[in-house]
Amino acid sequence: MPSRTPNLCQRCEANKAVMRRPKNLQKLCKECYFHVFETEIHLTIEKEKLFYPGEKVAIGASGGKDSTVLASILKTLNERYNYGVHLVLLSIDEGIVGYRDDSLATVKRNQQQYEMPLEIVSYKDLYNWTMDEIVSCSGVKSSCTYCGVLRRQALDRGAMKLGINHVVTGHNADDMAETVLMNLLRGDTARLESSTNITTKSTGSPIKRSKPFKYCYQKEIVLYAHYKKLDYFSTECTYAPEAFRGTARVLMKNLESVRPSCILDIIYSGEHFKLKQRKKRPGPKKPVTESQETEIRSDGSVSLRNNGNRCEKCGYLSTNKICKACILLQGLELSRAKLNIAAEAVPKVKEDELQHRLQHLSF
Amino acid sequence: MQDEKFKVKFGNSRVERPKVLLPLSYGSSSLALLDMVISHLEEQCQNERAVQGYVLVVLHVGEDTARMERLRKKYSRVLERLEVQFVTVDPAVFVRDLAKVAVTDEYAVHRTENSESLNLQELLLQFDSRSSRQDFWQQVVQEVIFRSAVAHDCSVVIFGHSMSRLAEEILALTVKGRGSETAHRLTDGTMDYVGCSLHVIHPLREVLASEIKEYVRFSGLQEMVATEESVKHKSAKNKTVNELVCEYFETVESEYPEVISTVVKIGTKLDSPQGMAQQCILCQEAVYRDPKTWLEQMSESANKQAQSDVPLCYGCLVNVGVGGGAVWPVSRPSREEILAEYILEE
Repeated sequence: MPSRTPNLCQRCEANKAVMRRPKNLQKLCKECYFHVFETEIHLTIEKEKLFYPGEKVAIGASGGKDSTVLASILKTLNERYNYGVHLVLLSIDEGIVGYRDDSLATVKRNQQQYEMPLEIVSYKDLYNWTMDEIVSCSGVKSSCTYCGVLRRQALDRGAMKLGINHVVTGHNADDMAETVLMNLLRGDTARLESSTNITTKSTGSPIKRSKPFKYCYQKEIVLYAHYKKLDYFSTECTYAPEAFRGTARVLMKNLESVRPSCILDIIYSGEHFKLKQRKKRPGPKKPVTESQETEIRSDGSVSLRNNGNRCEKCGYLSTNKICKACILLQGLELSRAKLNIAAEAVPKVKEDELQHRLQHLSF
Repeated sequence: MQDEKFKVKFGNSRVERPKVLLPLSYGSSSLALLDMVISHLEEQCQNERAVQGYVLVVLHVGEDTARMERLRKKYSRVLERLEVQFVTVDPAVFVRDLAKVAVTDEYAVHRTENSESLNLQELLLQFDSRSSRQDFWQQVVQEVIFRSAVAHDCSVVIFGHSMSRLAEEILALTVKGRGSETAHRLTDGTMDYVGCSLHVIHPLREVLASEIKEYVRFSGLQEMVATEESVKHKSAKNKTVNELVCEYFETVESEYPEVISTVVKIGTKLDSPQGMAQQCILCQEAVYRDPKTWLEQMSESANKQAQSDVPLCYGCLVNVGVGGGAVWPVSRPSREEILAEYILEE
């Protein structure tokens, strides 16, 4: 009796298995893998009721593997299961030469491939700063802080411009688990409970953000992109992630080698985190009506009670009198060099260095 | 005030003295804690008419009775005047009421009666990964400690966990899918165990492991410390989750010294999730959400018809493995059983 071929797909038992699925080490053929992976995303979308028919949805597209796979899969699922959603690609141009310009070229190709409208919002247009300028002014160390705050707002503004209330992003399970660990390591109580939510919303903002890849391993997304031969851009940002996040990433990689399920385990833990109710101190002697109270935060910003307030400077939605982005930009404006060095005279790298030195000159 | 009850007693208040259990692993921190507690008691007894404020029970879960003797000898001069009990408990008492628990490929959990008689060593060896073995071993030690507390009528348990160790535990529990247990296992406070109220305290929660190391050196306790097998030379693949996390904190400590205290601080702010909980058949911890339904929502091959007959927590489910099974004690003895059955060597 001929022995069973060991390399047969464990699901269809007809085709040759080409891979071991990282999630459960099941041997699968290409077709079965596509089916399983797509169905699991569909299950998440169904269970969380992410979309409603006729909804306009913007896909936060960076040209990287996650967002490219997201665009491809949403297009497939939308057609297969008749979600009836209108998909639009929304890209943010942070202005990082040698990184974002190349990845945007990928997004433009994706636009053709998936036949979706594309909208690009740039930091330069919105804030009159590019990331390159910000970094040359404030240094590489805090680049992620600026970029994170600005990008969140830029995505919202881009969506608003298109009249869209829902942005989906390609955050995967690895990103989620990393965030849970980072929140613990940084003691971030404000984010600890909600960091594993599939859908989030800024206070007062009409735009919700969701992550259909919440339970997808990064490795599986890469495999999907590889076997589907998707066109994506795979270079890391010129301004590498902050050093501390890097240490958490190394820890995660090590943990994964002893406990392959640890990414989902961390998310499971994260979904169970609950903070103790703060004990209420006895209130002030004089009864103060709520409308008279104004909270002044540690960074000097003034909190406003009602949702839907607008930033006094830029007019964008904000819970404070001045939004976070404007506070950051104000700080930058103070240290911006008054003079520019002619680009033709000095090469780019030298230019940044000189700019930096110019800021510290005194007479 | 909790501290009041440990204060030195005079006259007739002898009856109100609480009994305090100090679990001793012969690691640096628990030895340091013992040293501090003994010197505290010594101070309390300096006044002729004074009576020590609490009775101490020192407990080691293991077989190292020789070390216990050496320790007694070291403190013999002081111990003459103090009421301190030294107890060594064989962890084998944990083995009782064995049953087989199996997890099907559809994440359903079934319990079947077991015919094998396995000892503790064999029970632990059922798990392939060192990490899972260590996770279950921790459960065994913790269970035996609390059962001993009940058997010895102790109302207070003081653990020697340092700040570094607590941070390690908080992160390791998270990684093992046991994040919901953090509040219950690592926060100071009163807990209910088989109908008895136990007050758990971690007195060294503000002290770094490196500081304790120095304390041990200064107070000449080094010879008492049981040396652990070094894991430095092991490849990352053979380490346990706890070892990896511990190593992580050691490496970041120099550059980001605030990380350890930050993690411990956020750990104390955590609460147990709300809602009805079932009890895990293996580790007896609370299960707030059925891991089966959680895993099904992201699995294409899920079969919702398959039902579990016993509750199993997520952490244990991963340890046992999908499609795997294990023989393990499936019940906790009652208070009466603990009092009647517990064989304690003195």
